[in-house]
Amino acid sequence: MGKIRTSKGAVIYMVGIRDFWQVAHKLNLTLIQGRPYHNEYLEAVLSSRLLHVNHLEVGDTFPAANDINLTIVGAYSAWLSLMNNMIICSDTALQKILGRPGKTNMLFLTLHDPLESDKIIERINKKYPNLRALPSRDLASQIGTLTSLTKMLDVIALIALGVAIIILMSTFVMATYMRMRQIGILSAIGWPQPMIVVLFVIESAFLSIAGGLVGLTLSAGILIALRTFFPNIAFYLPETLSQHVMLMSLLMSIVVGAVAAILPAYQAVRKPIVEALRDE
Amino acid sequence: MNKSSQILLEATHLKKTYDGGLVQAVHDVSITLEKGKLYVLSGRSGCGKSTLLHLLGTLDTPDSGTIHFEGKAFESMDSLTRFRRENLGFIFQFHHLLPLLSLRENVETALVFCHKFSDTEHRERVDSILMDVGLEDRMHQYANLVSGGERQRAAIARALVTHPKLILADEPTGNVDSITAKAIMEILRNRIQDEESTVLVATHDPLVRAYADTIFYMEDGHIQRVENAH
Repeated sequence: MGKIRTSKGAVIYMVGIRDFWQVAHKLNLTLIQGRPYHNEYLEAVLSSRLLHVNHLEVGDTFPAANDINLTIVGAYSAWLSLMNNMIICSDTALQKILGRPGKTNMLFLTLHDPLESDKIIERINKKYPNLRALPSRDLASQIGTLTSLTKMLDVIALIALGVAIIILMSTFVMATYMRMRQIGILSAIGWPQPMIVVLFVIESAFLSIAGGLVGLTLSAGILIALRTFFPNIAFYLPETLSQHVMLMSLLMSIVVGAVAAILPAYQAVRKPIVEALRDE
Repeated sequence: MNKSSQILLEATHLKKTYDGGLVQAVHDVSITLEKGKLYVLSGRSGCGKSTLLHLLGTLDTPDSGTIHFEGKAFESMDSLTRFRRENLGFIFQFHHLLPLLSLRENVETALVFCHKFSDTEHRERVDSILMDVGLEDRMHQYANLVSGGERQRAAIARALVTHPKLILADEPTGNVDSITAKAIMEILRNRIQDEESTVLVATHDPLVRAYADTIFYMEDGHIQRVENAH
């Protein structure tokens, strides 16, 4: 894999692989025009967007290096727009373009048991110090564009999380206010105010844990379903939910639930008991 | 025993207004409750009975006037919450039970922070009080799944279980039939005899007056007349 810069300064990723169909299957690419490249020739398949932007057509040539032109033999399209910025050719052609004959910089291994990946990665890294093995889920962090993309996705996820927290909090606030009369009853029969607040906070925390567990179960199910029914994107997904993610999710559920209950419960116990008892 | 040692609660010149003074709910009311007696606050709806009950039960604060309980002013008490817990029992017209708890659990809520009894005594007391109000077979039913009469009996049990010195009942027979109303008043009457509690019932139900030692007739926030039954 490598990248070249066009005369206009645009960065184009190049993938050199012996079998076009292998990469097409892996990255969910569809050959929409022409044919795959022959390994012996300086031929390439370009994304349809790249062709369009550069005013090229199948049959034209593409100046990949100073003295090397690739013949465009096909065009592909990809569902992931990030993949629409690639030139795919044979590994020998790419080695020639990059001036590194016989060299390769990336190998994809498909494991029989994905759960063993961490152990295998550790063994490879120990046995071959010149290689660096990493799980496919970490691949994105190694590629600049993908890093930006994942950072953007992180921001979107954070916004979604913030919205979820606000909705959850408002739900708890409403739920506590709707039980104003119960708070009034407990106050009237002599429950200490701090204990009433604690009671509501504990209850909210338990409800949040239950919600968190349901969310994690759903996430695990969706992950399995995605990996099973959409093998092309499985490449970008983790094998399982990590313990860290599960722990953080549950912790966040508890904290959000508890914090959301404190303020309304505190306000409710401060309300005159007579008013609380009259609350509908 | 001299008269002052018999006095449980003494309120003088109580005043309570709402809506910035526009509504005078209680106006210059003075009232004395002696130990071991059943008092009735009688009057039409809106005459100030419930407000007076709330003031005497520390659920609300008067604009002016003082209330002494066993000679001690409410203002000088460290914690009104603890005072309520240890000395008062409330029975409300709409029972105010916690719907998602069983009748027994509702009764037990009053004992959670009450340190008058040991754990064993707690259990015995709950069993005994539920039997007294006739709920021994229904105690494990959820509060929202039983009849109005059973809810009111459970509310009475909750008020009595801590052995309060003063029981304040706001229209306890307001939402029950006459047979249940009589049963409720019998329970309260017996409680006075068994545990020497004092009971103050706010009601407009004439049936309740028959059980009273003293009746306070209220009108427009005043006590117009006091009638001793015996």
